[in-house]
Amino acid sequence: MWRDILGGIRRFLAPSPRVFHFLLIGLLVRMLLAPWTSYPYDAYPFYGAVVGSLAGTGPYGNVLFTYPPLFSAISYPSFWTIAQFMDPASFGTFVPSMIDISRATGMTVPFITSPVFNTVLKLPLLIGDALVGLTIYRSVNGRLGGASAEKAFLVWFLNPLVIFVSSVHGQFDVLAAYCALVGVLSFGDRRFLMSGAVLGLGVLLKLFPAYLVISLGLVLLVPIAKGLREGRKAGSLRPLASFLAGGAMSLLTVLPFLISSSSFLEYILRRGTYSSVGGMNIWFISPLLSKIGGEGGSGGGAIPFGTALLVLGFALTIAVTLLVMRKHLVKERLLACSAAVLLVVLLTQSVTNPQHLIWLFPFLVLMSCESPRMLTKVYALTVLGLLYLLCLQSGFMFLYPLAEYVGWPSVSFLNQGVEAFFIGTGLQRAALLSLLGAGGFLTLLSVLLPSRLDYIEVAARRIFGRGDGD
Amino acid sequence: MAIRAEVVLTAFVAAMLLSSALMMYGGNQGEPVLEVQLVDGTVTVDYRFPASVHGYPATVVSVPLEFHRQYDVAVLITEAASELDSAPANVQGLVDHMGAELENIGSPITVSAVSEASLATFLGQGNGTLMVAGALSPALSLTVWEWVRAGGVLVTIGPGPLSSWPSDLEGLAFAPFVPAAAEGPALMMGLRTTYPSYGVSIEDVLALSGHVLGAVSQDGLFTAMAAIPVGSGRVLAMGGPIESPFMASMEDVYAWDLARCLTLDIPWVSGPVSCQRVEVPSEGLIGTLVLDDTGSAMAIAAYNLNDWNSLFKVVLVR
Repeated sequence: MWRDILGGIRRFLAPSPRVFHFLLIGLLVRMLLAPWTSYPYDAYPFYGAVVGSLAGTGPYGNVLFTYPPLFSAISYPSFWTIAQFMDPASFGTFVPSMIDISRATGMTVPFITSPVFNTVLKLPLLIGDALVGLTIYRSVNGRLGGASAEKAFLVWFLNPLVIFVSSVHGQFDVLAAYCALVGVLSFGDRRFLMSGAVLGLGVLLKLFPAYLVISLGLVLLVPIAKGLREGRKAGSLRPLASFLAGGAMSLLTVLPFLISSSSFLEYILRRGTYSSVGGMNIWFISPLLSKIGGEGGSGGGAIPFGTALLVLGFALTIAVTLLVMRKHLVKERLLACSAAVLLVVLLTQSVTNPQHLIWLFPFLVLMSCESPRMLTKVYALTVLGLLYLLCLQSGFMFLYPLAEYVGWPSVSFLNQGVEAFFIGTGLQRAALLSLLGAGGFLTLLSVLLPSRLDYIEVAARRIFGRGDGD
Repeated sequence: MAIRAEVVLTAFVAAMLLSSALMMYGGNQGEPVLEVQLVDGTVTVDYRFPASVHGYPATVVSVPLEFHRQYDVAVLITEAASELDSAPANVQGLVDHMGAELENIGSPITVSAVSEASLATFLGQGNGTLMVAGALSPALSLTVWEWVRAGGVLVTIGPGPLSSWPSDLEGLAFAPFVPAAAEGPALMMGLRTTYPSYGVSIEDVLALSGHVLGAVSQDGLFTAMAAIPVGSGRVLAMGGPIESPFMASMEDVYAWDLARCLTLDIPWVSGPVSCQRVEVPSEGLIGTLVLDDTGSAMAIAAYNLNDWNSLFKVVLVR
C-alpha cells in the first residue's frame, strides 16, 4: 500500500523529467527570494495574526488580520513550532526611520518582518504555486498529451507575476486559486462533494470563489426542475445535495471561529465591501482623478457603494452563467464559464490588484490549449501586473527585509528611493497607474470577446509579427 | 486516484479543524497574580507573572486616583474637517481595535460608535466616557463641555476636538511633536502612542492642574497624553490625529493605550504614576513593589508589554 502511495506521489510531483527539473529550479528561485523580500503593508497583518494566535487571542484578536480565517489556520502550526525554538519577538523589527515615508505614502508600515518569518509565511504559497502547476499538467496531459502539458506547466510555474506574488509580495491568492481550479475541475468530473468542499475552502481563504459557488450552484439548480417534472426526484437532487454537503464540510475547518465569536465576520465583510476603488478594472481612472481632485483613496461614507458593487457582482455572475447555459452545454464550456465569472468579478469589483490576476491565470492557461490567444493575455497581464506592483510605491518597497537584516542596501537608501518615486513623481505616477490599470482592464475585457474582435491579439500580431490566434 | 484525493481532502479538513481549535482555545497562558496589602502607611504589591516559552517584558503600574469611575465608551464619528482631524475610517478602526483590546485584557468596559445625531441621547444618559477625534460644531461643543463639567470624561485625540469653539480648554496648545527616545512613565507603562503628529503643551497642562502621562517630545515641551480636570469631569487629551502608519500613530497604538488607561481609571489620576518594568524569564517571575500610602484610591495593574502574550490583571484599591 505504501509503495502505491509513494508511487502516486512520485507520479504527481515528477510526471516527466522536464517538469521535475523545472519544478526544482522554480522552487529554488522562490526560496532564494522569499526570506529577503516582503510588502510591509501586507506583512504586518499576517504578523498580527501570528502573534495574536500565539497570545491566545486568535488571529482577529488585534483586528489587524481581516481575511477569512483559513490561511491563518494553515500557517499557525508552522509558526507555533518555530516559536518553540525562537522568541517571537524576533519575528519583526519596528523601524522608526520608516515612519515619515509610511505617513507620506499611506501604504506601508514601519515594521519589517524577519527572514525566518517571511520564509515560514510564504512556504504554503510556494507549495500552492507547485500544486497549481502540477494540477494544470495533469489536466492538460489527460486531454492533449505530455508536450502540451509540459508547456502549460512551464507557462504557469515560471510566470514572473506568479513567482513575484507568492515569493516576494507574500500574498496567498494562489491558494484560493488552487481551490477554485480543483473545484471547477472536480465539478467537470461530476465529483460534486469534492467540488463543493474545495470551493468552500477557497471561500475561507479569499472570498472570490463564492462567485464560482453561485455559478456552479446555479448550474446544478436549473436541471432540478426538469428532473422533478420527469419524476426523478432523488436523482435530480443528489448532485446539488452533494455540492452543498461539500461546502458544509469545508466549514468544519473554521468551526471554532464560528462558535467562538461572530465579530470576525464583521471585519471580513467590511473588507468585502471595501470603499476604495481602483486597479486593473473599470475604475482604472481612479488614481488620476484622486490626484487631480486631491482626494484620499478611501472614504468612510462610501460603504453602500462597496455593497452595491458586491450585489452587482453576484447579479452579473448569475447573468453570465445563465447566458452560457443557454448557448452551450455547460459541461463542455465549464472552464470558459468559470473564467467568465472570474472576469466579471475582476472587471467590476472595487479594487483589482495585480495579485488578483492569479485567480484567473490557471483558467487562461488551461483554455490556451484550445484557444492559444489566451497565452497572449497571460503574458500581457503578467507584464502589466508586475509594472503596476512596481509603480505603486516603487520596487524599493519590497527590499526592506534585505536592508534591515543584511544591511545592503541600507534602510535610509530605500526610504530615499521610495520618497523620490512616490513624492517626486506625483501626478506622473498617478497617470502611469491609471494607464497600467487601463491596460489591465482592456486585456481582461478582451478575454470575453470572440477571436475576430480580439484587439489585444490584433495588436500582438502587429507588434510581434505573429499571432496565437485560435 | 479519485478516492485518494478525497482522503487527502478529509485529512486536510481534520488538520485545519485541529489547528483552528488550538488557535482559539490552546493559548491559555495563565494570568498575572496581584496581591495588595495596606500596612502602616505603605502599600505592598506582591505580583507574579506566569511562565512562558520565552522570556518577555512586563510592567506593574500603580495609579493614584481621585475616584474610581469607570464608564462604557462612546466614540463619536464625525467627518474630518481638516488635516488636524482623524478620518472617519480611522475613528471606526479605533472602535474595532479598542473593542478587541478591551476584550483581550478582560476589561468590563465596552465601546461603541455614536453619530452626531445620536450624541444628544448619549449625553442625556448622564456621566460616561466620550471619545472625540475630530472637530465639533459650536452647538455640539457647547453641550459636550457642559456635560464634562457635570462629571463626564472626554477623551480627545489630536488638535481637532480642542480647536472647536467654544471650548473649556481653549488655552491648551498643540504643536508638531518631534519624538524622543521613550522614557519616564510612558516607557514604564509601555504606552505605544509615541509618534503623534501633534502633541499637547506640557506647560499648558500643568497650568490647568493636569497630569502629564504620555511620551514627551525631544524638546521636552509636548506630550502625547495628559489628564486635565474640568469642573467635576476630566479630559484625557491625546496627541494626534489618528493617521497612518500602524505602530506609530494609527488606531492600533491608540487602542492599546486607551484600553489599558481607561481600565486603570487614568482620567481620574491624582498624582505621579509609579511603575516597575521587569523582564520576566521563561520560568515566570515573583516580585514586590512597595509604595507610600497617600490615602487616595488606587488602581494597580500588571501586564505584559510584548505582542505574543496577552496578560492583564488590575486591582482597584479603596
